[in-house]
Amino acid sequence: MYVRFVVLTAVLALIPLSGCGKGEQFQAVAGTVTVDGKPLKSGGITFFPVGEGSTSGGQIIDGAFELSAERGPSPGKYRVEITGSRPTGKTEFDIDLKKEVDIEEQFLPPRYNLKSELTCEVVASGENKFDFPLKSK
Amino acid sequence: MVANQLSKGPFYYLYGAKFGDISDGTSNTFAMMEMLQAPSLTVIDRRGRPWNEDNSCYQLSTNLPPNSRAPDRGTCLDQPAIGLPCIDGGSNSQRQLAARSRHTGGINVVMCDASVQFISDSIDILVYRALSTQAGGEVAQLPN
Repeated sequence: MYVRFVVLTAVLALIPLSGCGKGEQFQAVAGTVTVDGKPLKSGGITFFPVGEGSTSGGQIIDGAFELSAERGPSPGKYRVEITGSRPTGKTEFDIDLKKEVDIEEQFLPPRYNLKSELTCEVVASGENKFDFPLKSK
Repeated sequence: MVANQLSKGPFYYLYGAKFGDISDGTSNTFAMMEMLQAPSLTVIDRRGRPWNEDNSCYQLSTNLPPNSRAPDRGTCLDQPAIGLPCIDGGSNSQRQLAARSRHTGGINVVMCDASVQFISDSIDILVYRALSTQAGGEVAQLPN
């Protein structure tokens, strides 16, 4: 009788985790991004699920990214897209900041973003640290 | 404005497509998509605003899937609790605003053939992006 009670409790405990992706157990992720061996100064990283799950992402600053568990992906496989920005040398007036700002361009090849071949696997227990050494050519 | 400059949509910056330009097919190309207008009481939040030709008028992209947990990037206020995550500021080349709605599980869109369709949050991102271009040459069609 005692054993049966324990089993039922275990099943009930799983119920809130099921259905419609609401039960995704989001994980903190972090890592580094280099381009030709140097830290990527400014960019973005997005994790697209292979199969079920939600998309998550954040920014890359001085070669590093970090997503809290609240903002991170759930365990599973992901296609990763990385973009990088660099100044073009031109400026424009930004009406929100009310000053001249650098016009930047995305300079990383499509194989890292629109046609990304980058992948990673997020795990439920253990460290989710991913390093992406990229090449500009 | 959708996708990148190599694969523009019917309402790209300083551009307006003729029907003949929509070679991917009018039934396979988005004309309009839902957005959430963000409350903007103390700071500027540009999501879901009418737009003009000013340089801050980046408006809508299919870079992220519908109702994405990944943040919009631009002039906006981070409000993930109401489905409006954002990283404020940043490079103009990184700006992106996702289509968002208060519907469960997706967004409504109008295609260029004037039909209204519901797009699931879990649509394949590459299909979603292909549907936003008018002449990308993709074979993307609306999922059943």
